[in-house]
Amino acid sequence: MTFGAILAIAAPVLADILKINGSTTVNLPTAEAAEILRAEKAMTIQIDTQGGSAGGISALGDGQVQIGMSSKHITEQDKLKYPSVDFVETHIGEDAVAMIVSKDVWEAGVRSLTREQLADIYEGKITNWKDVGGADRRIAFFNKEPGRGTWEVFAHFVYGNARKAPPVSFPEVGGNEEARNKVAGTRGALSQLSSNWADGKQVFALSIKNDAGEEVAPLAANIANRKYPMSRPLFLLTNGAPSGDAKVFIDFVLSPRGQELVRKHGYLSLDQMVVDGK
Amino acid sequence: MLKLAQDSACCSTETVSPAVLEARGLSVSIAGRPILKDVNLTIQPRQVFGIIGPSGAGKSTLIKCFNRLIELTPRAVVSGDITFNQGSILSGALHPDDLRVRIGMLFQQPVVFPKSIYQNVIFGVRRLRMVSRRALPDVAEAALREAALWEEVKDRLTDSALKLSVGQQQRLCLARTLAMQPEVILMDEPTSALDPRSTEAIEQLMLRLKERHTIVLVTHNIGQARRVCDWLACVCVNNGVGEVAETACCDQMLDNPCCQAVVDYLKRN
Amino acid sequence: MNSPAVPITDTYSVVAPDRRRWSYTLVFSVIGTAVTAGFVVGMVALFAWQTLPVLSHSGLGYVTSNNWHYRQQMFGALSMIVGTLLVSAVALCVAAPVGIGAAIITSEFLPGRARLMVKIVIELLAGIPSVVYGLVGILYLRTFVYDTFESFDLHSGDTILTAGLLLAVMILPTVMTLSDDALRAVPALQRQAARGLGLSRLSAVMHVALPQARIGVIAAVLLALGRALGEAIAVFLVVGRQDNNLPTQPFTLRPLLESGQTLASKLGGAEINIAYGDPLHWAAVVGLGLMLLVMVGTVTLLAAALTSPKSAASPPQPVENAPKHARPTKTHSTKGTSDALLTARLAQEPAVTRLPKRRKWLERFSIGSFAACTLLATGVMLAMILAIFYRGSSALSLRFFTEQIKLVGADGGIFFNIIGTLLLITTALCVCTPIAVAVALMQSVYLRERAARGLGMVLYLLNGTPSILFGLFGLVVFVKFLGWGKSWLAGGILLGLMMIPIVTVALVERMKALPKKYIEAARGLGLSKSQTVWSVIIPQSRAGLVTGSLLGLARAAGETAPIMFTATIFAGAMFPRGIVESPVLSLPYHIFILAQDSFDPRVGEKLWGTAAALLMIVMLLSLIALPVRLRIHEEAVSA
Repeated sequence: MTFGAILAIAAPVLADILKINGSTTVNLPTAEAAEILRAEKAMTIQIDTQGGSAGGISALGDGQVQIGMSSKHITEQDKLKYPSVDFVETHIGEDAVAMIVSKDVWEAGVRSLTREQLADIYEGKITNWKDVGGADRRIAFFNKEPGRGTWEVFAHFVYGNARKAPPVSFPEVGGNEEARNKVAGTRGALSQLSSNWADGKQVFALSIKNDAGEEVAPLAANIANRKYPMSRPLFLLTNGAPSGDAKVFIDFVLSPRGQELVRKHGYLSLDQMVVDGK
Repeated sequence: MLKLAQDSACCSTETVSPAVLEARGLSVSIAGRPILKDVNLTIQPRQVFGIIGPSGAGKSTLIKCFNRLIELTPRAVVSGDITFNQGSILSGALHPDDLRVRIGMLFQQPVVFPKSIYQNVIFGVRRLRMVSRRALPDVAEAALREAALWEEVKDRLTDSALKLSVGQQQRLCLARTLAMQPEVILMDEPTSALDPRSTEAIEQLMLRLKERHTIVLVTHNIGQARRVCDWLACVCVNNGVGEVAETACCDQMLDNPCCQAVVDYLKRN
Repeated sequence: MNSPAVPITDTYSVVAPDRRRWSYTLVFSVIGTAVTAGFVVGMVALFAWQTLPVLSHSGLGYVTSNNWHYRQQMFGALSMIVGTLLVSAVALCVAAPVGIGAAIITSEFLPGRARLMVKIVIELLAGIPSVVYGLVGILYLRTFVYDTFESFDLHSGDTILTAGLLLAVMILPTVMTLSDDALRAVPALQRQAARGLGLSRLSAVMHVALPQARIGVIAAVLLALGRALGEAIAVFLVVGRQDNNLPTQPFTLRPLLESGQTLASKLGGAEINIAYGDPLHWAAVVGLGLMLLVMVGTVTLLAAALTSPKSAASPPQPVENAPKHARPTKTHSTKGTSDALLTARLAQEPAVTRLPKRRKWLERFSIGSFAACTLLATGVMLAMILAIFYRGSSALSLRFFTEQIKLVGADGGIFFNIIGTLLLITTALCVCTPIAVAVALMQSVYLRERAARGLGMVLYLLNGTPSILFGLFGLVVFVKFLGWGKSWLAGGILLGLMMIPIVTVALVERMKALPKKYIEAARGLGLSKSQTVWSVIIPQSRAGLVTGSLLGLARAAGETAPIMFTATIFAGAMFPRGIVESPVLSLPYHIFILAQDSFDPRVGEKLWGTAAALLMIVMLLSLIALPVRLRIHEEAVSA
């Protein structure tokens, strides 16, 4: 009874708060956009990054937030899980997932991996860098934790579909800083990470060698023309077309100032992409 | 005055054998507060040497000086000297722990360890490895017999010592000390917690034990002093500090004290 | 009832006292106790109920098989159970000897003042929030382990060993403080008797004090084990979180040098969010909580049973090694009277006694290593605090405390994080105080013997419950059932529930110490039981309430696990304007997130600054409580 009364009091206040949850990758430009809007338009915006993209999708599905941040597409499964929710993806930029390695691996001359090599490493068939052209050292693979957009992109590239990825057992990393930190501090380390986190000093982004034997680096040009295979769109998700505060927010992110923030954090803004109308 | 008391030859132990324990100019203060001042005592071997006096005069403090147990009291300072078989115990030649092996002690309350009777008796000799493991049962039996406890406990050596009566516990503590074969046994009011029967048993024991051991007994019971002691020292309070008012053989002290403080004390008891 | 026939005075008249058949105090006490006991029972029941789907799906395989792949709907938690046990075993192997060694030094060797200093340092160590331990673990310990065991070709510095060592430091204060208490509870006379026999100071401790304190020491170790089993946040950050990595080479060092996963670290991770909408996956996750609860509960109740007054009153004196050779003596004990034998005995030469043998080097070595333990324990603590303040000092400025977060933690300050944490702990205090007073009254005034012991067990259990389980409970009840979303009130309630045992125990300790004559005097004036409670017992126990609350608040302020799912978000919350969907920011969660996610080198500085700020709040609270606490404590132990 008391709870009911509390609910009644609390309900009208809700409309004022814009709540956002999801991918840490999308969070960077989003959080900064939120800071600007809080200052300029006195909007109340709450941002959290629990559970990565999957967390964003389920939070939106459960109605806990108005905007979900995701670095992967909504899947059929998601739609089945939340039948009453009309997921709408708003594309705000593009990011590449790079295979990053620690300094010693880079200096031993490993510059690229093929898709087959990645699959073998992931399945534990290759466990030493010497098998892929590096020094004799165990491959310390850190798997991005389940639910993260980064992992989905990786699995999609290597196995065609994230659901086809075999169950494996590796140490897992969550946030981007954690992944970068661990790769930087571990010899022979390899992990999946948003390419703009590869600073070229402590952690290095490998190229992907395609079937033609060409090494494609995760550079802006290669991402824009989709030559680099492990790129991913960054989305703000809404239930139905954006409206109210959510619309104000998304419009801001799509505006030149918002897109500038996307570029600032190392992602490709929409105008940098070769938009193929898809 | 002291000289007078000592010189008055009224007791049989005139033959002056070398003293076992001797305190010379002994003073003790605890936390800056003087407790005992300028104590001089000579304790002859194979005697029961009693220390009497009003409570709070420092009798327990004095007896604890003889085996240096006083040093466990925080901020206790001892000056002067005590000799044990003519050697100073404070000089450091003899480690206090080794001293305590040779000068055993019995406390006011029997302090048994929460172990079996048997384990209690052999506690010291076993921990200090003073006898071979095989000899332990024999030592235990001998010590229990010497403490007149053997017949009462021989069938339940493995029972907890806490099940014994207080009087039996005190005799067990005595056996524990006897097992180490000390030369001197210090007893700090050993019967104050006991019933009359147990008290009598302990007193009987003292008389027997003095055939082989020297006993220093603190007691507040004048009757007990008369029953068991050969020599007595009376510790009285003078200006807030404990002093030995008089030393004399037992009957001399109790029947014919010289010092007014002792007279007053005896009158009150 | 009638006015007196002869009025004593005309200036006033007395009215017959109002007597009710039942008292509001009793009702209040019953309600508070019911809430507490109901919460414990409710949590177990809730977890058990929510776990059912996975049991019908996986059956026994849920605990016996080693395949946790939620995408494939395979839920076998064996590796997590093993991981939990391994991590705790490492922690115990390190913390138990070091903690007991240090306790021997503090209780037996240190003079009063030095002992107090060490006690203070250890109390402070106990107050450091687990997320701060985790932070230190990430930055120092994992590198240390990685470099030290380089020859073993480690996958990385995140290992079972790393987590175990970190936990060892965390549970060290528990082992040390409780062992110290147990040792000090052994009467001084016992030591004196041993010294009187000529045992050295150390032998007296090892052979008299320690054996008699063993039950207390074992309980201390068990309680520490309970904490180790349930720690989520710190372990999460350094254990590697590798699923299904069952050790393949037992009896070697290898399993310890692998990454792993514990029950609690799994619960602290992302799967909670993913599982949220899927009944089966959710059941599997909650089931981990249930397993954890059962494990910790068993250990805690064991400790409680050991130390309960019942077992202490009739000491189960296990009579050790009966003398093998004592038997034959019977044969010759039959002859003669004891007197005759005694005389015979006395005539004999002294038996085989020889001079005492002392192993001086062993003694010196032991004392030296115990002292080293003490130095290690206090040194680690001081080093941690210094490191945090040293690294955080550059961030600490007025701006840091008055501005809100900017640039995802890289700029600005932690104003709203401090506000949020203060709001949470204030709410917790308001929730906890009435309940704790009610339970304490029930425990020390209304209940007798058995029932009081039962209630004591409930408090023990509540105290031992891992904080991550409070978070899980809150997620189910407040977020899922009540639909509050993230709410400061939910966090406050959960933290308040967590504080109950700490405050209650402090209160009960104080009430027990209250001289009986006060109560008798009050009852002698004709005051009823409840009037006595409010006029005598509670005012006289204020000190217990204050110190208990401060300690509880210190713990609540640093907790991450109970609030991470229920009350706090990373950015954007300010002053809450309602209850539903009204999260706050907080200091511990800020550290937890930034430790995993930051994009800017400037974040590092802010991160340590935040840790320093959190540490300041926690230490301030425990330092205020310290003087009174130490005094009460010494009284209680010496009584």
